[in-house]
Amino acid sequence: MTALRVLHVENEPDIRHVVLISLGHPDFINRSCDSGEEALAIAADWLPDIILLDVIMPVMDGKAVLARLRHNNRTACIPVVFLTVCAQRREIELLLSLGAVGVIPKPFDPMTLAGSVRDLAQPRWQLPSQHISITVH
Amino acid sequence: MEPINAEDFVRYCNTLVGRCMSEETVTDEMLRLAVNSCPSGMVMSDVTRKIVLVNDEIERLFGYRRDELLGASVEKLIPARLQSQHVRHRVDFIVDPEVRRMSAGRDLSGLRKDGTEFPVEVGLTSLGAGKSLLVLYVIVDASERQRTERLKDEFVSTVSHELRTPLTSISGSLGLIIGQAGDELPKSTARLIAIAHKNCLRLVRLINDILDIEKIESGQLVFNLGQVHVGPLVQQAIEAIHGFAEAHGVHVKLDTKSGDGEVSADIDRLTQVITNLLSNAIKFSPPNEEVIVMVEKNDDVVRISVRDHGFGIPVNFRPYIFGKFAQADASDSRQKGGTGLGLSIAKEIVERLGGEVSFADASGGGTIFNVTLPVWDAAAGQNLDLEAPPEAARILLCEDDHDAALAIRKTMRKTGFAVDIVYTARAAIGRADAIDYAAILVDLKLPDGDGISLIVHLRAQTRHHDTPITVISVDPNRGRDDARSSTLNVLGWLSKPVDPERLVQVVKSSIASAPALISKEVV
Repeated sequence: MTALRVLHVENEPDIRHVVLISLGHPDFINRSCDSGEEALAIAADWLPDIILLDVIMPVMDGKAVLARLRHNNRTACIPVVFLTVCAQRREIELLLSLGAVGVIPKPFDPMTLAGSVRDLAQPRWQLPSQHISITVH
Repeated sequence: MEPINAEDFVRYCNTLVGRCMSEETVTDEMLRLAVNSCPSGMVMSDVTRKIVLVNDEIERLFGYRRDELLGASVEKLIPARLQSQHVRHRVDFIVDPEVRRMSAGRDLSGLRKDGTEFPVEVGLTSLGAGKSLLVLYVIVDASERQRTERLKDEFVSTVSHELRTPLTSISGSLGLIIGQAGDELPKSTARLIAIAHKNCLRLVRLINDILDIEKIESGQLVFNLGQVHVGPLVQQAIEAIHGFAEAHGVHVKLDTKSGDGEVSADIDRLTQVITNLLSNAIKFSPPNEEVIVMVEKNDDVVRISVRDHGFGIPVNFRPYIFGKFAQADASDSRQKGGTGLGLSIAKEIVERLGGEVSFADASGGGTIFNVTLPVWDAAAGQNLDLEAPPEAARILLCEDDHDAALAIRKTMRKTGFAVDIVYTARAAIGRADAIDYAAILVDLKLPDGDGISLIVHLRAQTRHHDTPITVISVDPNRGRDDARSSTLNVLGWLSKPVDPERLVQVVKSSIASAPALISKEVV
């Protein structure tokens, strides 16, 4: 199996670091950046297999980034997972309705993050349901 | 105007009397002072709606000078788009005058001289009768109250978001240390890390529980109701909590006699109830004891019971057990890692699902918690409109004539609505309490009560304070003439048989003009 290329967009350096270690496995090739603009540039150039996207970010928030990704033919089909503090049911439903393949609420379990990302990166038709939301209690 | 104290006032009156004013003039002057000192705006109009009195506060609120208002129509103070509504309320009021809040259940606005609008609360009082009937409007600026409510919502949401960010870094780092390097750490260090991690997760639970309680209390908790098989759901909850039980050395088992039953519930919320009861039972069980779970169906209820073998609930704590942050012993929360909100949330959810939670001493020691929920009513269940597309605006139709109800659903579906049907007022109240409907249609004649009483109940629910409600009836005038109707903000009174196009048009326009719906959409 080829390694999964993951782009993580997050403006908090500490959380970027935790995610990097959580996905620190030969199965993953990780890149991260701290803003929406940068994410759009890297996504169009590197074409990652999946994007982990924060929602609340200065200048361009995650929802705007998702919309811009969808408007670019090169990036339109890249699965996007929101990794976010917006963890209430309504917030999750809204994020899924925007076209994300999943929502992983923060705080997340670092030991199961790799498995969740791998599952969410599968082509949609292999999954039993359209959307996955993972809740950590 | 400066506030006046009583002594000054008496002195002032004496001065007036001293100036040889008649007693009548003094009384007038006292009244004028009282009205002008009132911190609420006051407008009095005569039977032709002409303004005959305003106080200082009105000048301040609306930016008019007194002489610009006296003799003008009260409509001058009301935005044009609300004027027809106002005339209707006022007519109703004159027919049946009593003190009432005009703004109960709806958003009223005042129109300032400069054309700007502001939210108001209005109280109506009638004075006199017949031709000399005067109406007194007491008007309060509601912007501050609305702003406070909005600020509270924003604050709760911001605090939750802001707390989660650092918690993500902390719990992530600790989780990684335990998961990746736990075995290599000295025992004492590993224990400290585990304590930090455990308490981090507890903080997360606390945030989640506080948000839930806040939503429950403000009536914003949304339920996605559907048919739920309780047996498998309980089994899943037991499996999910296995790790937690193991950590406490407690065994959670399904009773061998446990069965199944179907209820109308929201799967996630019912799971939350069972999980809360299980985690409570586990926390208060001595090691190596058992927690026994049982599902039974008796006639019209499904009972879920969770029995522990703990030391029981102290008698003096029993009345407070479902209270918020309730802990039998102050040291409990620290020892058990609970939030003190679990049972309170469980009770609120179960009650919203039409059930009850109770507890009792179990024979042979320990405590048994029982949740009873009404069994799934197939007839009612079919009437949840599950065929409509999910984006369709959901409407509740309360109509006891099955054929008429289905006909209305058929018409409305074509124009993009999902129509849930209930046949009784009781069912309508239960359903409406759980779901945010975009609009509600009520037949006035129902097997278990009249439609107006039903609407009074619906308006009392925070969720449906502002929901557009339309009445359909063989005799809509009977309802319109009901003394209570004018305060209920019913947007349409349609005669049966209903003209389908007219109904769709009324419902659509009512939804379009309902300001509350916009805020409901905002996350």
